[in-house]
Amino acid sequence: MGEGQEDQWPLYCFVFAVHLSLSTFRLPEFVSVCKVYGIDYDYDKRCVADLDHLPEYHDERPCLFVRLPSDEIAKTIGDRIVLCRFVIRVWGQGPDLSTMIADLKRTADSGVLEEFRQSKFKFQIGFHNSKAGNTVKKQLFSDLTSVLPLEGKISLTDPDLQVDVFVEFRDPNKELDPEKRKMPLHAVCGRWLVAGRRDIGDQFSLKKRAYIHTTSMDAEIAAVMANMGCVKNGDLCYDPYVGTAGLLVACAYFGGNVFGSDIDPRVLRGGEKDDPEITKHPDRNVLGNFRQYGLTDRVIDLFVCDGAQDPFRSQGQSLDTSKAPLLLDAIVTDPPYGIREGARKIGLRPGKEYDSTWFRKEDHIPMTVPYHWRDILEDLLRLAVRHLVVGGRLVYFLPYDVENFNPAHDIPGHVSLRLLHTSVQKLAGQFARMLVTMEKLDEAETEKHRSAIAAEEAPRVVASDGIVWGTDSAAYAVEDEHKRHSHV
Amino acid sequence: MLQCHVKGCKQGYPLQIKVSTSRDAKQESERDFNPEFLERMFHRIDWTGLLHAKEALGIEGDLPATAPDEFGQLNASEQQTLHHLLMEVEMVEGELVCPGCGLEFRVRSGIPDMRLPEDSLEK
Repeated sequence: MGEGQEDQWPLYCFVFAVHLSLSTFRLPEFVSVCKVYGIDYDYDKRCVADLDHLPEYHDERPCLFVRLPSDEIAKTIGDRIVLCRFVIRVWGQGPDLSTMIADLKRTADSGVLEEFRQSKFKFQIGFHNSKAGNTVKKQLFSDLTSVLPLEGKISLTDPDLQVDVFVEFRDPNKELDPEKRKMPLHAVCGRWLVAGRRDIGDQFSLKKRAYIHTTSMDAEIAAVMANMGCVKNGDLCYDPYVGTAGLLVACAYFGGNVFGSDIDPRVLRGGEKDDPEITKHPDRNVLGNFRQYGLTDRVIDLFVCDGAQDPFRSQGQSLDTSKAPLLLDAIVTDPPYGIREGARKIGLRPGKEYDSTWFRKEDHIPMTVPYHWRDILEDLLRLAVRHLVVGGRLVYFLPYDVENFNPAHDIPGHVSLRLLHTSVQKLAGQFARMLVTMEKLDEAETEKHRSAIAAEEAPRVVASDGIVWGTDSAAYAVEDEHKRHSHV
Repeated sequence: MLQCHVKGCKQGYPLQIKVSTSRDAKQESERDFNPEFLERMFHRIDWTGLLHAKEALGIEGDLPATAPDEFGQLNASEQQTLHHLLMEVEMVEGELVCPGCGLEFRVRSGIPDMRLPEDSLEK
């Protein structure tokens, strides 16, 4: 798309949930969903003020103003964004109500609203950070009525046209001047197009889920992760630490066909093999969660496997999809880093001898050794590089210690994976977790990426298999290096 | 799609399918035909492995001996066979055997256990 063409696109306002713990998830989710529908949205270039008074996007403010090709596309995108409340086709906007009304009048005078002259309509007024009184609302209703060319009936229950006004005020916790608190920061009005998917959190709530565990992912975050993974109909998705499959349920809901594995067969089955509870509750297992939402058809396979191993058909080293057809479109996962669940992988404990009769025994539980978070990440990155299609996505959570972590330097990387987004959720104490979204590169891009890393001011270390670590990344370790070695 | 992942095992694919002789060792269910998904899967399938699976599971229906270039070149009945094989047939009890090293991966209650013996792992 040429620059000029995008200027002609209509303006839309996406009103986001003000969800402070997830504020840095909103823009990456928006950009990823745009990508699903073929819109390459470079938000650094595009989501900026290109009109008078239009506020730039800010993670702590509710509105994102963007230009998109059509109402249909804006609706399709809004209809998939979990953190979006609703989408407005902008007819007027400004730093205060009178500027907004003047702008709306210009739009009405240009004649583009004539198609709505006979529509059944209603007005909806929303205030952010303020409970504006009835006088303000009455004034707004009368202004809208005088400016808009609407002659149809008012219908509160079944309107063909809903005109929304959304007025943002300053955060009362930050703005101490009572006069300024009364002044809007920005006001926008236009046609309400579609609600975002705030309902997903309820629809898939863990409270109503057949089978959960202490580490099951919150339904809302799981859906956001599936969106970051650009999961769409027919995609193949894999979670190597599937647990109770919260992430894969979200991927399947958006059309993905899913593979999941876990080191512990009891987790997949829902209990010990002979546990009478299993027959009593046939849905209290991973498959039951898919059955609950009518998504069983989306499950390709669930299997028992160790996260340290790569169970998929080998594709060779080539990144060229035409030579070696690759398998996965998205890997969406929340690896066990040993904070809530001790991370384990199969291995012989020191001083133990392997007994070859173990493997044949039905009831043998493989011996495990601790699985260091650094190895977990490296294995995950290698898995992504080996099996993702070019442009396929790796989405995973990385917990860290806020005081010692430097996002520019400490996120583990791979020359064949581009870091697209990082979204941070604060956890208790000095911990946080970062949702990392990466994209698989082709060979040419990989070489460019490799040179870019070498040209960094403090170049990171690139291992022979392409894994990239900051030179002092060990500093943010939840467990330190010393412990890592004492385990083995 | 799965392969034997023992380090150094060169012939780990395709895993030989051994369905248990017990009753209900194989389950067939009905799922919606999703041509979009099949088309996406088509280029990711190893055709030899697929035919092998078809035979081992004793599935009726036609499939060409070599894969055509495009999914659309399969006739309607071949497309149904592919759908049935990929989506509707499940081995509930049995073994997946590595053609290279002979390692057997058990399948119990429809869940393959791909874990490796403790000594086959480095480090």
